[in-house]
Amino acid sequence: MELKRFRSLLALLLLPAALFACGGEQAVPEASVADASPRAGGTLVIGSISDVDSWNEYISQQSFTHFLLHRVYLRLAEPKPGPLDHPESFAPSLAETWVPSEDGLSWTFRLREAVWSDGEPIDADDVRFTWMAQTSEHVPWIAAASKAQIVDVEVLDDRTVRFHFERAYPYQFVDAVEGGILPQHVFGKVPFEQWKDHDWLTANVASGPFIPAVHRPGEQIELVRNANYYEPGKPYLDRVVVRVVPDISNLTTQLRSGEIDYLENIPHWDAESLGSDGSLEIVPFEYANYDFIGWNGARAPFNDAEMRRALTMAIDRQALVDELIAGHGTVGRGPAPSAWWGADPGLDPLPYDPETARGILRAKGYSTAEGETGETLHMTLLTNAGNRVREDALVKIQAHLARVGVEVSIQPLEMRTMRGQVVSGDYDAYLGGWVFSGKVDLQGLFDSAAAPPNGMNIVSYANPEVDELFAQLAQADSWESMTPILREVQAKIAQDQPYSFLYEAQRIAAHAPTVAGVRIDVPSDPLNNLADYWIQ
Amino acid sequence: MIRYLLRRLAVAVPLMLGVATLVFILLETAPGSPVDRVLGDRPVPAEVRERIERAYGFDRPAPERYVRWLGALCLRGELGWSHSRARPVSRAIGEALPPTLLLAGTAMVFFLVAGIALGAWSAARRGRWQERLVTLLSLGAYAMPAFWLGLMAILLFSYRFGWFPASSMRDVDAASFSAAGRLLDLAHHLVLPAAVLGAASAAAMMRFVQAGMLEALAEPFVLAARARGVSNRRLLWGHALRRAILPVINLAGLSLPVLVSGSLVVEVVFAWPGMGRLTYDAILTQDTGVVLATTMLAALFVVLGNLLADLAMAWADPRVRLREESAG
Amino acid sequence: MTWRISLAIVAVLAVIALVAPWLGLRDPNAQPDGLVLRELAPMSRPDALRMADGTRRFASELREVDGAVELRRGARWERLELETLDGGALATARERPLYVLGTDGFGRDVLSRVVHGARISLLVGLLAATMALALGTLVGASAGLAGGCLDAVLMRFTDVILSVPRLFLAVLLVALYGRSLTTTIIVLGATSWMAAARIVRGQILALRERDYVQAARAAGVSPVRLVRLHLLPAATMPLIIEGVLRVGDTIMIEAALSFLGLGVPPPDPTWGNMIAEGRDRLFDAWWIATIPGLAIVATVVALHLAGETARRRWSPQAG
Repeated sequence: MELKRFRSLLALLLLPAALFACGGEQAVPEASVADASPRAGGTLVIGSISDVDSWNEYISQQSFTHFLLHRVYLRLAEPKPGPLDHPESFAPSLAETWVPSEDGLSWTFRLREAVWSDGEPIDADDVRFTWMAQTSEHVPWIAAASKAQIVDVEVLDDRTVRFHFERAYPYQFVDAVEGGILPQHVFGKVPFEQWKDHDWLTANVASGPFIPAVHRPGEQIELVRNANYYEPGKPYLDRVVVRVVPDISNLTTQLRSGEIDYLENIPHWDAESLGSDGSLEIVPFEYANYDFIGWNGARAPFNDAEMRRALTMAIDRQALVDELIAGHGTVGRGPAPSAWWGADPGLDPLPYDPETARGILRAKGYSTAEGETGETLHMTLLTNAGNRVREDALVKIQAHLARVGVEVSIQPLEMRTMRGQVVSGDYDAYLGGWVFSGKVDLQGLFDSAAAPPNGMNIVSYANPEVDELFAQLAQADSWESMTPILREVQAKIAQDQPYSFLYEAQRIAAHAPTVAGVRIDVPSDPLNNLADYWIQ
Repeated sequence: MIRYLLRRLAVAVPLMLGVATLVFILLETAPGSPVDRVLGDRPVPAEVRERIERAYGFDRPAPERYVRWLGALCLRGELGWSHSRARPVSRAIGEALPPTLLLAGTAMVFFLVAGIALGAWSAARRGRWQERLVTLLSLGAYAMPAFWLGLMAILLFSYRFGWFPASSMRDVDAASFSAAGRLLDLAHHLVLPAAVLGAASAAAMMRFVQAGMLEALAEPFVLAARARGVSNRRLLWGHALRRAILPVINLAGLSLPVLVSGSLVVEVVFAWPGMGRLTYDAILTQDTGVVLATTMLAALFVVLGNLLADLAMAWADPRVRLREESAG
Repeated sequence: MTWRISLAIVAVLAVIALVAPWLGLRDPNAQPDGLVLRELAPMSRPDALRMADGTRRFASELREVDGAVELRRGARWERLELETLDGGALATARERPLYVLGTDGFGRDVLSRVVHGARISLLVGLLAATMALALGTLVGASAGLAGGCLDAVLMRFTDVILSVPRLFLAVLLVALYGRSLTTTIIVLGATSWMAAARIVRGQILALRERDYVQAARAAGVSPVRLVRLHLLPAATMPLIIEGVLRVGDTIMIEAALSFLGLGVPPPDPTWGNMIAEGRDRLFDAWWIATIPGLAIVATVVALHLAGETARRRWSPQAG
């Protein structure tokens, strides 16, 4: 009797396995022939892991929210395809034209004739009001540092506004246009102290193509078309719905089954299987970022540049690109993201050379294999849990370093625990990354004065020559004069390898074939052409 | 009776406060600053980080924040602000509670019906393969991790067969449906998560009812009645079931906290916008106000569950004396 | 009869887990090739070449060209001279190793990981359950013996912890204190002791008034001795049963924590974190998450059967 029961238990247990082993694909919808001209109307359903935390970009600290808010509150000028944050790569948005002054201390913007979605004109008062909000101490804006050099924003007339700067420097334009312009007649009604507690969905006004209409937290967001958007005929979509699902595999399942139309960030390995049967379009795009290993510059042996170079050479970064992100990315070269205008295209990454690495380790007295003389290097490598690519990277890097005799114990930690340990100097190395949108400030990352607790130079990297170069850079008065200094800075930092620059990953969006007009050409702003999307 | 109820409920208050204090201490003694989790990978200079911390009051010492919170709660009935949802905590909970109650309620109906029906049916077929099948199923369902079951369910019924939606509470266009359409849509979305949430409890219930009824059916007077010719059916439904109901009610009341706890995992898997999701998000984003409020609410559910179980028992069988403590 | 079989299953599992390293399985953490071996289905036989130096190269595709062999890994072809191969020829060097349960996203052997995972999962379960029993006994005995104020305080404290849903508390603790094997065991133990405390306290309360206990107390026997010699033995059976059930529960909670991203950190395999790793790949590589899931079901079923039927046999008044 018992045997029979356990045989049936066995069968029950094996049932799920049998179900999956027997293929069974869903019917693949026919991809329709692309229609040449855009059609108005329709709803786009986007899937997102994260929810919007606040409908005010100066309160929100969340990237996905910013992607949406850029389509609601426009900036004076929008980034256009091209290198990150160079003035040539900005296109007119709320401002039609702009002129720098002779003395290099101000920029004058002429606003286009446009109205808010409620019919009020978008004028210079809004620009000045926005600046006051951005610089208010009650408003916890992440990018507040960009306005540090702006002395005043002067209203010359209804549609002309002038930004006054403390001194002449090349980034003036970029700093001036940072941040969406807010409507004074709506946002001005709430005192700045109450901004972070206020529900900004009630603002119900926009200058961009879409207005937020409904927000059910943790569930769904709806944005509707702004009829008063200045580009005639756009946006084509009537409605954009964002489905909030905190699980990426659930989202990809929904994409396959057609419950959602668009995902702006799919796991790299899913790109192959999602795109393989032709039922979905895969769109890889540049996303100015890189992942790195930060070595604790205050702790031996990681305070030795040659050691750090050896450890970098021991890591097969091309294999990381191939295996972690399915080849969608490039090996990290240096401290600047490749999408940035100031990145040095001639800078080569350190080669993958475990033999040389072993040589250096042996010379420093470490054993690089079982049975060799010398002490074994033990170290702990941390990263922030929840980032799948990084957690997997830890496992691979552990294996790579084991081949040169380094014993790595890996520890994914909660973000704030990891940050706490790293900032207090209690770590060997950590695997992290930076995402750059807008200004790339190398000084804030690599200047010795920016060591914790003052700044972002978390590994306490200090090279007086580099500091001197940064000082020169700060005094530079033109883009052209900045370029050679930047090249030198990058070369020196790459030589010192305070971080092992691992890889720069692309991101991948995927969408149903019924969604047309999809183009993602601005690094770090995947929804930048949302106004151009349409449903066939 | 009223006095007894009030006394039991009065215990709930210090319990909830005790829970909140425990959670607060846990949240406070952990390393790092809450701002770090939110900022993530963006390079942010120190002054800006400090500005953000000041704006949210993270720079004040822990005891002060506790007293402020407690004061706001007792004096004004305020639960504070949720920075992960950018709205008052009370509103965040008010929005998340109904979906969880709906989910837990449906799960409870499901597990009661399935548990009792299957348990009784298998008890009636004692010694035959049906009994063994039910026992097997219940063992299996109980041992399956809820999230795994949920994932399998989605993969099978959502993707492979397309019978049910993979997540969320409603369809994207639900607002434009008729009232009947919306109800149907809600029910459609409810099936998988409620079944998964109730599965383990259904399994427990099944075995319980089965055991209880078998026990009742083995009693001497039942054998005598059967010998006299009383029909099996009457014995089953009339007598055995009634005897088994008592512990079933007890179990149902005690399952309430299990459902609340299980909802965390099920809601994450199915993207159900309820209290479990809210708590999980709040824990990960260090949204203290929400975590405190949801754990207090969970504690309240436990008290209520125990109370309901005891009351139901006393009502069903007057011989049971109402206990003074919350549990023996 | 059933409990004997389920206990046997548990014993077999425990034995396998214990001798895992000596079963001749592949290293569970070895990643010989992250590209070719990635996510191979069960019963796969990838192409491999044994090299003259003893190492092994894996290939998605092999072809023989004039005087050499070309192997493809992903999109790249690589040329290998025949002298570098073992035996100097393709025929002697070529191998097709079998992966019974396939491989995971890192090219690691799933069978080996499931078996080694049994070690860690059972270890975590056992240690956590032991900790829970020890803590529970301590609290329960203190409360039962002392009575009065201490009893009330301890029981209220137990109620407070019982009132917080166990998973909430576990998630909170791990989210705050970070993931590690130790944290997982401590968190699981710290959230599971309440039932044991109740059992011990109940037993002590029941026996406390007995004549022989009163006599011993009057004779001046120390409370600790009292507990150890007279009161605990009565609680032993229910405690053991409770422990067995606890192990099953902690395995499940460990799995849930791993699913939520808060379990034992990589690379060591536990059934829970194998499911977590495989869950994003459920669609393309179902075996990575499904097989450990089945292992959990089988183990927990066996443990529960053993515990419950033992309880029915030995504690007629329990329930």
